[in-house]
Amino acid sequence: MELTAQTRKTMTLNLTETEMGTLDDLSARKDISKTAVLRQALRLYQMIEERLARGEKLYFEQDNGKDKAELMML
Amino acid sequence: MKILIGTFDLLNRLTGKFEDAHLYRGLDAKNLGDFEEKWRPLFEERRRRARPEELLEANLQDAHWDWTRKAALWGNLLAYEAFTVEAEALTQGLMYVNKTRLSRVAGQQGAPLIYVELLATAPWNRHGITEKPKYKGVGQILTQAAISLSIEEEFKGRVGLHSLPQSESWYREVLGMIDLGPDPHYQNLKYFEMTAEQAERLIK
Repeated sequence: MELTAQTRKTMTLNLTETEMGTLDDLSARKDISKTAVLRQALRLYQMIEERLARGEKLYFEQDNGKDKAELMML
Repeated sequence: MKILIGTFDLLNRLTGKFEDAHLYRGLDAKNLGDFEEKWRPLFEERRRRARPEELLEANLQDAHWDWTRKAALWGNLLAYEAFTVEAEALTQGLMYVNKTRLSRVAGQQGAPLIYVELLATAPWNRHGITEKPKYKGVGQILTQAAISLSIEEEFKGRVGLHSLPQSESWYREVLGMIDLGPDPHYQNLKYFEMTAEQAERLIK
């Protein structure tokens, strides 16, 4: 089944070497293109922003279930 | 915004003939209207008639899903996408997927996948709600759409979902998804995943 392709726009991205290295690393680790990594990042960022705006909080929790830290978003 | 993906065959069990069904990317006011005005009254009517011991067989485990509320909550978020199946100018199936979840299967753990948040077929297509369910194949079209989306997103066909008890055997036996057992963080519903290899086999 072929899904209808959605119209996409192209942009140039200026990144530092370190940022590009991180993007390359994530792309390799997740086995998706750099564009797909950035799309995922945008989805997550938007979702977190929306939920924080609704008054929710974002936490990271250790496996032991004891250590819990709130992630502060700027 | 709703975009037509294509026309697929749905088996009308009542006539034994295949009929055209339209698969859309997105949902709109028409679909939510069908849910509120056509689906919901049938769910409520069946629930009223069901004896407590009949509830499982009545196929009502998702009847409390509020698609209108979910659409309001998820409609503007990039992480979510909706798909709809229409036939005879009525909404026959609805699905919401999440594109930010990760695989739990050993060997591909942490890889991105398409997670099916909600998938439902219209009440008149279900055993338990009606004596003569109408269309067969709505769930299959929507599941195929989830796999196709996974490929489009470069997730290689990986799909994950928590199954309602009524659908477990379909995901396990018909689609061949991996059963990772009950999830204590999700009402103990069983979690299923389709790997890239399984998706490839299914598409072929």
